[in-house]
Amino acid sequence: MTDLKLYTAKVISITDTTKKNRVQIQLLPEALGIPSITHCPWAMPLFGSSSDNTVSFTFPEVDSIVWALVDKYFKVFYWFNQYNIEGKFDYADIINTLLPVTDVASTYGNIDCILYSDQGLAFHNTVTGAHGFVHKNGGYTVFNDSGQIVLNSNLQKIVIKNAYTSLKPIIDSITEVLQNIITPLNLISAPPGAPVIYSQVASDLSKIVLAGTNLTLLLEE
Amino acid sequence: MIQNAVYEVGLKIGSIKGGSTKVAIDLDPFEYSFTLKDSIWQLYPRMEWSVRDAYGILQELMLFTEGLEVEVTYGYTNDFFTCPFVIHSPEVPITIRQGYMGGLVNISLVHSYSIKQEIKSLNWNESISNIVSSITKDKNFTTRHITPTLSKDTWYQYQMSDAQFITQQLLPFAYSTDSSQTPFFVFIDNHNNFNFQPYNKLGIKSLKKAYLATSNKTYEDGIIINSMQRMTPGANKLKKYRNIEFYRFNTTTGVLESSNSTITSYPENTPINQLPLIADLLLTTGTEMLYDDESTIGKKHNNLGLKFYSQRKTFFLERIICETILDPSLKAGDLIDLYIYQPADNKQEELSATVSGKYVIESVAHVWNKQGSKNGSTTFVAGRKFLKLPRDYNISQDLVRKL
Repeated sequence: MTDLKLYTAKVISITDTTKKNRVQIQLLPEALGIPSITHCPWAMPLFGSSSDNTVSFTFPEVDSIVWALVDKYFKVFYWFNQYNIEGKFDYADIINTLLPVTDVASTYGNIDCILYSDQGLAFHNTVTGAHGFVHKNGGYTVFNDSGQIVLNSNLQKIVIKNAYTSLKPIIDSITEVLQNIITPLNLISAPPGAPVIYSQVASDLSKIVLAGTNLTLLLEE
Repeated sequence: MIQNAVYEVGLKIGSIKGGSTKVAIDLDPFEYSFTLKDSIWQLYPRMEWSVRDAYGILQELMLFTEGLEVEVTYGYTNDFFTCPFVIHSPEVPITIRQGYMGGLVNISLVHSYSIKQEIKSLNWNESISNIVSSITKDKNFTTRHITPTLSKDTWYQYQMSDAQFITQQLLPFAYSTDSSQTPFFVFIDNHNNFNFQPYNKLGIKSLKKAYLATSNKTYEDGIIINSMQRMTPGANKLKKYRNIEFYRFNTTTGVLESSNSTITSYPENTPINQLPLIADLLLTTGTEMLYDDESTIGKKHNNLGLKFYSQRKTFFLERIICETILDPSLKAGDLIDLYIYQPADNKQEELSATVSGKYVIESVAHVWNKQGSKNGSTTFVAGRKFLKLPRDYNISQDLVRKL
């Protein structure tokens, strides 16, 4: 067992060269006024939820105040969570972010969430089951209170694709073929009693076949 | 100033802010006594000063004010030792003369380095010995004995004094390749020397001979011990050190690794069957965590230092308390070679094989007492880890041996 004491610390840097989610901290007030912060300790993250093959972590903001656990010899440093100074958290920020999202209730006490520094919001309503992420630009992907999947990219375009193909070129192909079909110049008169000849049949048929194949690769029935 | 045929003892006073000029106290030698103590187990030497201030004049002059510096100089005619103290806690005087404020004033003093301590915050990236050297430079110590520790690491002195930083943060990790796997000690001795040394370096330059006085022998050199008593630390106090299991997570593999050190593990050349202890060392009696990170030589050395430090108390399994006439040259950390005789078969005396030998002086108390029947005496505690037990002693085979 290692005895650790609880401290508050300012985040000096999150640029960990070892990429281990360590952050450089300055214990406050213990290290207040030190002549140089060069050798300030790099604290390991005290992960909220992790095991050998799972991990969850966030990066704290530089200059923010976090909690730190330190051993009596100042040789082992852990950091975890924001030091929640009174009044820092405002639930109105969550309400305002969730407001545009269709059919998601935002009752206080029901919403578990992470509000990121860029104002992106990951949330889960523990009563209705609504779940999703609201982007800072206003777009969102959510299961709403009814369980419907709602996609809204606000002013941005939606991209649907997988490793084989994407939806946009498939629909483009189909649209192109439809436009060809309704273009009179592509329809050649035939002798009376015979069907009209479609001049693009060779190229459009291959496009339609390819679109169908790609659609099968992209979407499940 | 007190003088007799042998000794000379002087006291000077001056305030901490008063610079180097101090004023000698002109007191009747029969009016005060003091006990001056140092120890390898504590940083500061201390002094108990008892002054007969019959009419309260010294109190009127505020000579017992907390923080007042008192410089004690004592020694032989040409061999003086000086140690600076400050008044730490004056006590309420015991009234001895009706109608006056006076009485017997008992004052506790502590080495003056203590009052200069300041709470500060610093990051260090250096070897431990370099840090200790830097901290104690220009602090008016007579000499400094600092054994080099090679490896560099980062150390944090956060809201603590230099003394706290050295004793609580650095000392447990101190490791030297020259230490023969022995732990470090830090202390200021009563000659005002600052010491930061491993056990095996203590007193190696000041070996003194000491004899237990007997009616049959005379000695030309060395310290004559008037009385002596053996003292063991006690099984309960040291039991947990018999077999300590150490744990650390290997940061490369993620596996919890364990290793152990027993009471016989350190120093590296532990003699066989020479510890005054009968015990089963296979029983785990203590556990400790080491640091997971051994990614640098400095961090590996830190863990080694911790292992040695964890066995520090076991380096004094065998202790002797000795009393001699006042010998100002004695100080904590000295090495003495004890010659203890015992009756032999042919009505002769021979050296005690078990008790004789070299000991480290753990603590010294110089007592100057002109008020009572005694004049001056020195009591010291000397200790060591091993005996010098002959193999033909029956008990030898039962004593613990290195696993």
